[in-house]
Amino acid sequence: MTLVDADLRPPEPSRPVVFWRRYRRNRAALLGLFLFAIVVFMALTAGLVDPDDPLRRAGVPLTAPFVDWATPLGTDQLGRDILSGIFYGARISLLVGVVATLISIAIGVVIGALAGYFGGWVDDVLMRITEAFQTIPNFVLLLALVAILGSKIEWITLAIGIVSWTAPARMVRAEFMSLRGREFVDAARNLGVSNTAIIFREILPNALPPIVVYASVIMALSILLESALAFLGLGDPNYASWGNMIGQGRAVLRTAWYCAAIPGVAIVLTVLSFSLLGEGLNDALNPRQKQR
Amino acid sequence: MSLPVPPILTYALRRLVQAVPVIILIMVGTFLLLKLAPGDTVDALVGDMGGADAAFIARLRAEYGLDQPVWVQLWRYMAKLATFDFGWSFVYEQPVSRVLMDRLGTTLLLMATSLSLAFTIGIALGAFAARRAYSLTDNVISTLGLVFYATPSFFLSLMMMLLFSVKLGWLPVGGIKTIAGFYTGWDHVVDVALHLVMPTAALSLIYLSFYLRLMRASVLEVAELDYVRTARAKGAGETRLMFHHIMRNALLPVVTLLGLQFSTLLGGSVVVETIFTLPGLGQLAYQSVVQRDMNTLMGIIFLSSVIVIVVNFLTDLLYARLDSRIKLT
Repeated sequence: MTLVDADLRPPEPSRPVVFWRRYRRNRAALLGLFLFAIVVFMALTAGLVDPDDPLRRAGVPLTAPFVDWATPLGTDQLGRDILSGIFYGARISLLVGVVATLISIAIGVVIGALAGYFGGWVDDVLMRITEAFQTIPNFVLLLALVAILGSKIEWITLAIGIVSWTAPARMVRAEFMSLRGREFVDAARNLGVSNTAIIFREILPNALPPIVVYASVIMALSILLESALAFLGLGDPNYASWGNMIGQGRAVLRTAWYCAAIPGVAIVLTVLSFSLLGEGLNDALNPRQKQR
Repeated sequence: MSLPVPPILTYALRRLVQAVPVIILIMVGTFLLLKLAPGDTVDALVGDMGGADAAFIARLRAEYGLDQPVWVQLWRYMAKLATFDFGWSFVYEQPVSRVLMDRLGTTLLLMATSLSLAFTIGIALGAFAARRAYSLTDNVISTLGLVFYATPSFFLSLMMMLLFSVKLGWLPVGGIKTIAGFYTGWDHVVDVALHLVMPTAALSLIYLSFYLRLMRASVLEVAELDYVRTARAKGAGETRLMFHHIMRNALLPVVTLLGLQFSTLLGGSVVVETIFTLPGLGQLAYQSVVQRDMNTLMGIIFLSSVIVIVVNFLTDLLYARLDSRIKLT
């Protein structure tokens, strides 16, 4: 009987299909994906919605939302269109979020892999450095870096990457410490595979799933850090940024609170989408962890 | 015969020895980093004076030791730091240590209130939501947690200001006390407390949602364990089960997170203190970056690192108190 059953079983679905099935089970994660798609859509279509500079004067200053259809979400105190600011701001937020996350994961993977794989004094030295970075309040370090590097968007992104690599480094280190003694690593070593190849080709792919999930957290935190910098007036003045819009809106909070509220809601929804995406990824990549 | 030293003292001593290289690393790192910054103290001073001739600038540089190689400057700075001398703040015209001490109290007060609020309310709501997992109550609490987690503290601050100060007029917009009030005794305490309501809320709500989410997951996990079933089988009531059996183990990961995240919380005070014009270390950090007051910035980095290390030590003690399997050695 069992033999027949085994023969009749349908072929294993492909990995993306399994992944999507697991992801789909979490309804909040689907909402996250939907919100994320909207943000990506806004970033892509910013040039179509407003082909001109979003920082130019587009209408009468402090027009309320839904009054003038040339500026559907109203204008700020300098007459800048809030809607196009939101669309262009999505670009900057996503750009900073993705690039800063890649930078921080790259640093974290290298440091965590070296520390976890070699152990001994390499581990000691790298972990002291990690501890030092974890001890300085990250926003203070970020301010110092921006003071040194300047407020260009490239440097801000790099600085955000530099202040947020410690958590992925610790995660990668822990994974490497538990994986380095496994049989497949011993087997590779006996075959004469070099340390670099063992680290990047053998162990790293096995250590990645928790890092992928954590990347969504770093992305959310990077967006929050960039918007906080821009809010304090230390962002790149040449680009529309949600944080900067809120910072400017603060001056007219009494009379035109929507100037600060609209970009604020945009940040909340974007960060929320990353948190929900992360939970969905966690369910899909580590299915044993959560059973419902 | 050895002297009976309490284990907590040897543990504290060992942690102190471990902390020193980290602090030295931080200070050497930031010193070299800030040396990369364009312009030094003399440039800032000369800029303030509206220009000066080259000979005078050179004399100023020699006076402050800025004409020496970086390594000599670093050595001098570290030697002074070892005696807790942070140098002179050219912006405040005071020793940096005095500027820092003036600001320390406000930040510590803000940290203590936000952290204790976030921690107690976070674990209480988290445990509550876990006991009613997947019910309406749980969904409301978990959704609110997610939303607060996603809200930047500066946006939350502005919206609270709009509601409670501008529209309702219940709370003061900023500052630590009413300047023209000259309150004493209880009136002073109440006045300061009123000024701290919004900053504390803005800073703690995000961390509250961190602790809430972790505590909920942790209670759900611990409640499944065998020893809880045993306790229930022996007739322990649900309340006793929660407080005596589940809580103690479920708190462990939350306490770990508390220690790990404290430096982030301290960093968050930069934004909140700047918005609410609270005269604390965070606002000072922002101002010294804007005004290029590097000595003060270095002092803040040193002091906040020390605070983070002390808080981490305290959370480790708390951890050992909760988990008796861990011995302080």
